[in-house]
Amino acid sequence: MSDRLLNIALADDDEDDRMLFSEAIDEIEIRTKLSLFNHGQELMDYLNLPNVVLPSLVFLDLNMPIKNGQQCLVEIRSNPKLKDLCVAIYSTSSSEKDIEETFLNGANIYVNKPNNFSKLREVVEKVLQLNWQYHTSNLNKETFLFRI
Amino acid sequence: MDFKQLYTSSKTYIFLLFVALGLFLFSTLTTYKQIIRMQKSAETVKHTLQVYNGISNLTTHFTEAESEEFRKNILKTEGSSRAFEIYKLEGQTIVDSLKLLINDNPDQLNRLETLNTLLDRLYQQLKEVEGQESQGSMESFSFPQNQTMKINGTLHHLREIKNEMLVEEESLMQERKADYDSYKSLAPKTLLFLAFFALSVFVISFIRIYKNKRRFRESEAFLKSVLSTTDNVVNYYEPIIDDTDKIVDFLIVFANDCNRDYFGLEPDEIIGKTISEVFPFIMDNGEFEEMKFCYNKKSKTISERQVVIKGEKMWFESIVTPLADGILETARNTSAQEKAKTLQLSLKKRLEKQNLTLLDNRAFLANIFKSISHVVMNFKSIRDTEGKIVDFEILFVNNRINPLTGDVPEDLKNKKVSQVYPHIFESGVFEYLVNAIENNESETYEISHQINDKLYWFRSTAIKLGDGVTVTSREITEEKERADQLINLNEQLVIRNSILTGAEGIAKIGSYLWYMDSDISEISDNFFRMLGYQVNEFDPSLKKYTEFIHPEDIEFVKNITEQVLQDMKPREYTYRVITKSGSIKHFKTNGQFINKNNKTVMIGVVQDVTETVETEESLRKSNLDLKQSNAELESFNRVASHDLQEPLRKIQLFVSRIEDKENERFSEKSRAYFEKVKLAGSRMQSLIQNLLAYSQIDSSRTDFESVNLNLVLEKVLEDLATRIADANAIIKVDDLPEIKGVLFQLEQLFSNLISNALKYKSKTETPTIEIKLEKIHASNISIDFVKSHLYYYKITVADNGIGFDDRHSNKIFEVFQRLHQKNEYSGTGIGLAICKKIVENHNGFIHASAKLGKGSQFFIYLPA
Amino acid sequence: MTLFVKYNFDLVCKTLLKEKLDALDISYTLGNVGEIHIDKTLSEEKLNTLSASLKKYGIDILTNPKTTMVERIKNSIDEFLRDKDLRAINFSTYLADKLHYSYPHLSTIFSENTYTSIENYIILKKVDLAKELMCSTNLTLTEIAFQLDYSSVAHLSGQFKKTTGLTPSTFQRIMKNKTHN
Repeated sequence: MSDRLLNIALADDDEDDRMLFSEAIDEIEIRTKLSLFNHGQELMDYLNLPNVVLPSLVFLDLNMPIKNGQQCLVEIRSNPKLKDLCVAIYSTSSSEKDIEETFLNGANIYVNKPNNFSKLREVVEKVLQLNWQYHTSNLNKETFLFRI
Repeated sequence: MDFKQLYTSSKTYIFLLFVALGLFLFSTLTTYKQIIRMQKSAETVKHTLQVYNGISNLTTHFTEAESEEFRKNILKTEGSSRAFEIYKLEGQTIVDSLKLLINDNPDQLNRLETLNTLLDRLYQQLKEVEGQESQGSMESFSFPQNQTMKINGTLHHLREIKNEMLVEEESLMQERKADYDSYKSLAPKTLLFLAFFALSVFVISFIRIYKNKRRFRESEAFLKSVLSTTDNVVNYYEPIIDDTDKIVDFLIVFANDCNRDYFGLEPDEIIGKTISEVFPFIMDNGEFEEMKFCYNKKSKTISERQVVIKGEKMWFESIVTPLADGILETARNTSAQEKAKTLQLSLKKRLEKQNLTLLDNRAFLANIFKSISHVVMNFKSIRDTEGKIVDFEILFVNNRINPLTGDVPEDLKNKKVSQVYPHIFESGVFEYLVNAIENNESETYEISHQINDKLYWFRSTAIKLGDGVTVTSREITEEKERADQLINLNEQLVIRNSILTGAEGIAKIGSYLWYMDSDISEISDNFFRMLGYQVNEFDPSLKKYTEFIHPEDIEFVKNITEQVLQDMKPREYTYRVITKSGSIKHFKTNGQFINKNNKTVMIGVVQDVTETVETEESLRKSNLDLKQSNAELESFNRVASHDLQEPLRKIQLFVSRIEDKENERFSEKSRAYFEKVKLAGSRMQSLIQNLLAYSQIDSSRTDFESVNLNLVLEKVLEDLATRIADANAIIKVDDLPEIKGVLFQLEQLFSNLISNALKYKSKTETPTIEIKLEKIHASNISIDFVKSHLYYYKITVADNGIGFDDRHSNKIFEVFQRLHQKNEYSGTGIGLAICKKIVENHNGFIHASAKLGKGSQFFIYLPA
Repeated sequence: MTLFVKYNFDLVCKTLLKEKLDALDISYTLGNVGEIHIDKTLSEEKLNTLSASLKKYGIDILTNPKTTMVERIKNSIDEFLRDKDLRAINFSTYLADKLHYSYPHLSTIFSENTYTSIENYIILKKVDLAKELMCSTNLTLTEIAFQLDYSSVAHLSGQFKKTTGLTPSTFQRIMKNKTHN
C-alpha cells in the first residue's frame, strides 16, 4: 500500500455536500489530501496556477454557479496540461442525457450523489480505488468509464 | 430468206433470164455437136463400106488364082508372064487401097500385113507354076499335083484372114450403127425440151420484169406525188468539188413542191442551181458545214433550226442523210408543231391544275369523311333475277364506323350487308333503303343499335346514288341522353337552388354578382340577412356596400379592391362589417371574374367568419397559455430534478448520518419513527424521479429515428438483468421490427412494462414474460383510436403475474393510480402513465386486459 | 482527422525500457513482464537518473519487494488473460507455478498491497479487456464473451454493468460517439 498521500480535489457549491464528502474521505482507509472548491471557477483557477501539484483525481459537481461542471470538464480536457487528469462527476442528476453528455465530454467516472452516508463512503472509496487501479495498473485509460 | 420476197424480186427474174440464156446456148451447142457427130458416123459407115469393097476386091483377086481357067489362062496365053504381072499389080493396088482405108485400125493393119505376106507367097507359087509350064509345055494339062496343093493352102490362109477382116469390119459396122442410132433418137427430144423450157422462162421472166417495171413506175409516180404533197421539204443535193477536192457548194438536183409552199421557190427554177444561190443563209449558219460533214462521213445529222423567210419565222427540223452521190435533206416544218407543243403545254398545265384541284377535292372529301362525326356508307344494290333488291354490297364506309363497331372500313369493302349487318333486315332499315332507291326519295330514320352491351342511337339519311344508296348516319345517343339529362339537370337545379339558399343560411354564406362597369350588384337573399336586412331591403352596389364596412377596415378593403381590379386576380381576404343592428361581424370574401354577355362580371362568396375569427383568437390565446405552461413545466422539471431532489437527498443523507452516529442512543420508538422518516424519504425520492421521467417525455418531439426494437429489448433486459435473475424469470421475445421513434422513450416503455411484470409477479409460479409481435391492418384493430397509418405492429407484453381486475384496465394508465397497498408493492403509480404517454407520443395506443390472479396483458399498437 | 490505433502495451514498454537503459549504458536482460535483470549493481546516482527518466512515462522502479510481487502478479494476470491457451489451466495453479508461491500467499500479499483482491482485479482487468475489444475490433458481444471465457453474453453484460455501472451497449454508444466527436 502506498504511503504517499492521494491528492484529490472537489468542486461543489453546496457546503453540506463538501462537508459530508470531506467526512466520507476521512473515514476511508486510503490516505488522502482533499482540496475543496466552492465552484468551478475556483477549481480552474487553482489548476491553472503555476507549479501547482495536480490532484490525481478531481470530483466535479455539475450544477454550480459561475462555472458549472460541464464547462470545467471541457476546459480540463482541452488544456494539454490538464487533459490527463482523472475526472469524476459528482452530481444529483441521474438523467441519462446528463450522464452521456459528461462521458462524451471526457469524464471518467460518473457518481450520483448518494442519499445516505455509508453509501457515500462506499462510493468515494470505490472511485479512489478505481483511480488508483488505473494509475498503478496496466489498464486502458482510453476506456476509463465508470458509473457508480 | 422469205420465199415471197424471192418470188417477187425482179432480181430473181434477171437471174432466171440468164439461166434460160445459158440453157439456150447449151442446146444450140449440143445440136451442132450432134450434127457433126452424125456426119462423122456417116463417114465411118462409108469408110467401112469402102473397106468392105476393098476386101471383096481382094477376095475376087485371089479367088481368080484359085480357078483353073485362070491358071490355064496364064499358062495358055502367050506371054503369060505379062498376064501374071498384071494380076500381081492388080492385087498390089487393092492391098494399098485397103491399107489406106484401115490405117486407123492397127488390128486390121496387122491382118492386112499378114494378108500381104500371104499374097506375096501366092504370087511366088504362081510364078513357080509358070516356070514349069514353060519347061514341059506338054504337061500344061497336067499340073503338077504338089504345086496346086501349095497354092490352095495359101489361098486358104488368105481366105481365113479375109474372113477375119470381114468379121472385124462387121463388128465395127455394127457398133457404129448402134452409135448412130442412139444419136439419132436422143438429140432432137432433148433439144426440143430445152428450147421449150428456155422459151417459157423467157416468157415468165419477161412478164415479171414487165410487171416489176410497171410497179416501179407506179411507185415512182406515188413517190413523186408523195414528194409533191408532203409537208416536208425534200431536196437532193450533189456536191460541187473544186480543184483541191474541197466541197465548195452543193447543186440542187431535186427539189419538191414544198419549196414553193414554204419558201416561194419554184422547184423547176431552183433545180440546177447551187444552194449558195438559192439558200444563201445555209452558207452562214453552219448548216453548210454540217452538210459537208454529212457527205464526207456518210452520217445522218438531225438539226432543228429557225428560218426567217419573208419576215416569217419558221421552225424546221432537218434530217440530212447521205444518199448515193449526194445528200438528201428532209426538212419538216415544225412551226405548227411548236405551236401545238406550246398549246399542249398550257393544256397540260391546265390539266395538272385541274388534277390538283381534283386531288384537293378528293382529299377534302376524304377529310370530310374522316372528320365528320357521321358514318357515311355507300351500298350497291344486289338484285335477284326478277330485279328485286335482295341485298346490298358495301362499296364505301368511312372511318367513323370503327369507334362504333370496331370494324375496319377496308375489311367491310365489297362485303354483303347481310353478312356484316344482318340486323338491318329485321329492324326495317332495309325497307328504308330499298324505298330510297326504288322511289328515289331521301329517307330519314332513327334507329338504335346494341353495340357491346350499350345502346346507341343513330339518325340516318339514305339517298339514292346510281343503283345504290348512300347512308349517312349520325350518332345521337348523347343528344338523346343529353336531352334527358337536361331535363334531369333542370329538376336538380331547382332542388339545388333551394338547397343552396338553405345552405347559405346555415353556412352563413352570401353570394354576389357585380357588374363592374355599371356598379350594379345582385346579392343573394342570405347576404341581405347577414347584413341584418330583409331581402331586397336596399339596392346593392359596391358604393352602398362600402357603408357597411367597419371604418377601420375601409382603407384596407379599398386597397385590396383596387389591386384586385388592377391585376384582375381574385383574392381572399377578411374584414369587418357593421350590421344594421350595429353588431360587428367578420366577413371573408373571395371572387372570380367571369364573362357574362360580353361584360366582365365579378362573382363571389361572402362568408360570415365571425365565429371562426373568434375561435382563432381564443386558440391563439390558449396557445400562448400552453407555451407559458410549457415553460412552467420546464422550470418544474428543473425544480424536480435538482432543486426538489437536493433538499430531500440532504435530508436522507443527514438521516443516515444521524443513524450512523446516534443509532445506539435511540429509543425503540424513536428508531421506529426514524425508519418511517427514512421510508417517507425514499418514497418521496422515487416519486420525484418518476414525475420527472413523466414530465420529461416531450410530446412535441418529432425527431424520430429508426429504432430497432430488438436492440431496445436487449438493452432493457440488460439493465434489468439482475432483477430478472433474482426473480428467476423466463422472458420470451419475438423477433421485433424496426420502427420510427425516440430511442430513450422506447427503452423506458419496455423497461417499465417488464419491471412492472417483474414487480407484480406471481408468488407461486415461475414468472414468465412473453413479448409477442403481430402486424395488422388498421381496419382489423377494434380498439378505437386515431389510426393514421394503414398497418400497425401489435406488441403484446404478457405475464403470468397477479394480474388485476379488468375493470381497472383504463385506470391503471392514469397518474398516481395505484391498485395496491403502498406497503404491498413499491411503486409510485406513474410507470404506466409514462408508458401511455410514450406510446401516444409515437402515434400509437396502449391498453391492458387482465384477470385477477391470472396474469395481465399489455397491448401496444405502434405504426408500422 | 482522427486516426485509430491499436497498440501492444508490452512491446511499447519493452521498447521504451530498452531505449532508456541503452541511453544510460547499462547492460541488462529483459525478463518477464516488468522484470529487468541488471548484470552489475547500479550506482545510486545511475539508479536515480533511470528512475527519473522512466517516471515521465509512468514507469516506477519498484523497491518494495511486496510491491514488486504485486506487480508480478498483475503482469501474470495480464499475460494469463491475453493468452487464451494459458487459460486451459486454473489461474491459481498457473500463478503459483509461475511465481513459485502458494496462491493464498500471493492472494494475501495482493490484497494487502492493493485496495482490492486478485479476483476483483481479474474482473476489472477482464472488463477492461472487453472494453478494449469493443472499441478496437468489430467483434460482437457474443464473440467477446467467448474470447474472455464468459459463459454467456448475459454473464458478460451483468459483470460489465456491475463493474462499470454501464451496460455494454451504453458503453459502446458512448465510445462510438466519443470517437466521432
